Amino acid sequence: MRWTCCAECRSEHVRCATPPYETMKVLSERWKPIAFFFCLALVALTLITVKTRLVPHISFFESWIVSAVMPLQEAVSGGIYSVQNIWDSYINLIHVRRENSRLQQQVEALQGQLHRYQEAYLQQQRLQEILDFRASTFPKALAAEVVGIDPSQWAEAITINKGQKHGVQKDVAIVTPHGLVGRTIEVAPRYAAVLLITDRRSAVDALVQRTRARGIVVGKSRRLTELRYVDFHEDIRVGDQIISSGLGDVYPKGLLIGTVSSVRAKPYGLFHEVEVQPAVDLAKLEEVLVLVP
Amino acid sequence: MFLVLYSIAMLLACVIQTSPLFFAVDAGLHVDLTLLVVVYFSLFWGGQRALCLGFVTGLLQDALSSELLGLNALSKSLTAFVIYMLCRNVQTGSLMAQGLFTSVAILVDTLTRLTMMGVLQSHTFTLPTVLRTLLQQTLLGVPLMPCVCYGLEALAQGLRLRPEKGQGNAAG
Repeated sequence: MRWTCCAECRSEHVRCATPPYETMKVLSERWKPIAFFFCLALVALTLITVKTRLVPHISFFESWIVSAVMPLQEAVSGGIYSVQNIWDSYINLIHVRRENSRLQQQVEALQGQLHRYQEAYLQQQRLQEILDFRASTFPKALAAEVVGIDPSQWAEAITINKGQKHGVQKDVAIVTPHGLVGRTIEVAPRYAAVLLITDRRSAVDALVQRTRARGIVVGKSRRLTELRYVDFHEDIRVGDQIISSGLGDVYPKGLLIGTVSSVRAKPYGLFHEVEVQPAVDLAKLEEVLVLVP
Repeated sequence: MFLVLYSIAMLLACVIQTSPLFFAVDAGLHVDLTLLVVVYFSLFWGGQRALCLGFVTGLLQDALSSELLGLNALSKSLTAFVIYMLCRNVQTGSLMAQGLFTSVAILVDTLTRLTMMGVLQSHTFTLPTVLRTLLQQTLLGVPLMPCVCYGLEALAQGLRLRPEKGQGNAAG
């Protein structure tokens, strides 16, 4: 018979010389870690069970541990962070200059990009406004961009980037969603010159919207127009809106020309002297609509 | 090479003058750069060449403008002629001379234009408008003239050209 009561028993001998008490002790030593592990696992499982059942309450044990450990953890972390901060901010500055320069360039590039996006956004808003206006009023109208101004300071005209090839003809009205701009006077294949309503050569047959009194809006230059030939007996006031009458086949009826800014009665005249502020800010024109027939 | 100089000068003047980036269509500040270029060529290059350039410059401006074709051609060639006649015995390199001739050029150009408009019974301007435009043109044109002269002088030197008058001392 072979005895395997101890490590030594694995040797080839018939009977172990170790007594039984000693054998039990050896066994106990061998199984002790396993038993201890099972005990701990049991405790852990119990804790899990208890925790699962008591959710969401924080157990007293956890609370106590957290309360005890966290101040210490906080102090240690604070110390480490302080040291790290001192190191990073005052000592380890080898690449800071290069990094700073790189970030500065990045900021400038991003600012430029932001400006471009803002500009594109504003342009998109303006174009959307023009398209909405076109859809609701003149579906055939052609959108054009202002590309130049008249080189003469005695004339008030602009150049747009649409011409004969796009269907633009001479004497067609140019508008924006805010009102009347003028009419084309010269048309090239890809460009057209537009005479603004503030030019002294411009004349638009007009109506006072409130009273339907008739007159002719003539350019006075320098951002102003004048409503002429309004009968002295007609009622016209500051703030009245002036619209195109539709006579002459150039400007469609109902286009807003501007608002009356001053009315003066001549002592011996037959007509009112009426100044009209154009509805469109002609100095800031960027996109317009060409009312092609 | 002279034609290259003139073409560059004219193109630059026309592009700047018709650009909405530099000038607004109805704003107060407006300077006739082409006139300054004509004055420069009349002062420093003189002769029939300056008169021809004045005419061509005016014609080019007429083509770009919505006004009557030939109006600027007439006024610019007359201006070039007057400046050429007046500056024959003057040292054109001095700043004072340049300012004076610029003022004279603006006056001649404006008066010619207004006279022609009156003759053709075209649209008229009120006296305050005329005076305001004249004053504003002079106030802007006179200080700008030395800059134009200096720039064109540098360009001429770059093209290895030597002005007939002024001895390359445009900036005074």
